[in-house]
Amino acid sequence: MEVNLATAAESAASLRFVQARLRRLVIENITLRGILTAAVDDLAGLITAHLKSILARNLWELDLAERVLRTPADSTELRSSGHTHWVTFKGRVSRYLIPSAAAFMSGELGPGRKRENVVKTALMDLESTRASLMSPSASPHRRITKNTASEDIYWRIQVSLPPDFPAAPPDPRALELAELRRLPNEQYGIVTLYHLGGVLDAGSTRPLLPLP
Amino acid sequence: MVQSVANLLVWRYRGGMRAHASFEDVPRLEDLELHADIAEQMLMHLEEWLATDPVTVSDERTWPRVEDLCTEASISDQTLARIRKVAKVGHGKMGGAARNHRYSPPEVKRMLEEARRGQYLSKRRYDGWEKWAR
Repeated sequence: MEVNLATAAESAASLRFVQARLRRLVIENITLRGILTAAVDDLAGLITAHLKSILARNLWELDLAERVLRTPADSTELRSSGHTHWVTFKGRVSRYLIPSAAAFMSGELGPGRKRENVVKTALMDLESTRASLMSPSASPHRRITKNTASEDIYWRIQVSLPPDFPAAPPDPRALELAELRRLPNEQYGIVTLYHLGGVLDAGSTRPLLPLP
Repeated sequence: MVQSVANLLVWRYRGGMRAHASFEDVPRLEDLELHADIAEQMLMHLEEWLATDPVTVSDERTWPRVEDLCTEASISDQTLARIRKVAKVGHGKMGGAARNHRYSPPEVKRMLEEARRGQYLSKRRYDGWEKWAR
């Protein structure tokens, strides 16, 4: 506990040092105020673009999972090539189907009626997930199975990623330097300006930057 | 969507100041999620950038003044004041000091975007500003 307090005090002292240097820079260079102020909107634009690319990536993943689900049980075409990846999405299945769903996800469920039921349910959940991604404000779709209890489940579908499938983009909202360093230089600059703008006026009753 | 994200970002660090005037409610350094090591790295990045960026090391005497911008777009002081106010580049009043203020390229860019977003004037009339926003 004492160690934690000492670390927190050290961290606050370092931040105070950064803040003092930053305030001096801003006072000396009037341009910097405009640049730091503009960084908020610039970062908002970055985050919006990031969320859009994540959404596109998620929808593509669901398309790949759907392709696998619609592939006949005896086909190995989709599972045997390329870099494999697990696509997960939430669903709800009847309790009696859970063992079959588990067997299906581990690749141990052969062709037959059980498999057809599992695939049908998974496809409905996939479609529901896709709809909620497309319009996040819509209430999540939940199927009620008549006369049987049902449970939440996470579907895990193994897919082969095509060569042009994009790598996970770096998140501009991250607070880890390793993640932020993955951003292109210009975007890293925007994130830097945003955070330093926050440090600049923290704890000050006389902010140097205009209030929003 | 951009606007709602922007509001969220502004609130994260500075929202407390707008909503509450008392000292106790001002966000403290200790409240920031940003780690001190990262803040130091970022400051170093900023200092390096300031030393090399053409915007910040350019001659401020070449930046546009109020008159330049008004003439360029054939607008009145009052229109520019309104744009300045919503673009949050100084206050909306046009006193002597404000009239003589020179705008940095990022400030002009911000005003330009705000003018278009707010549809104060046609795009054609603001095209002249783009040379200042570069």
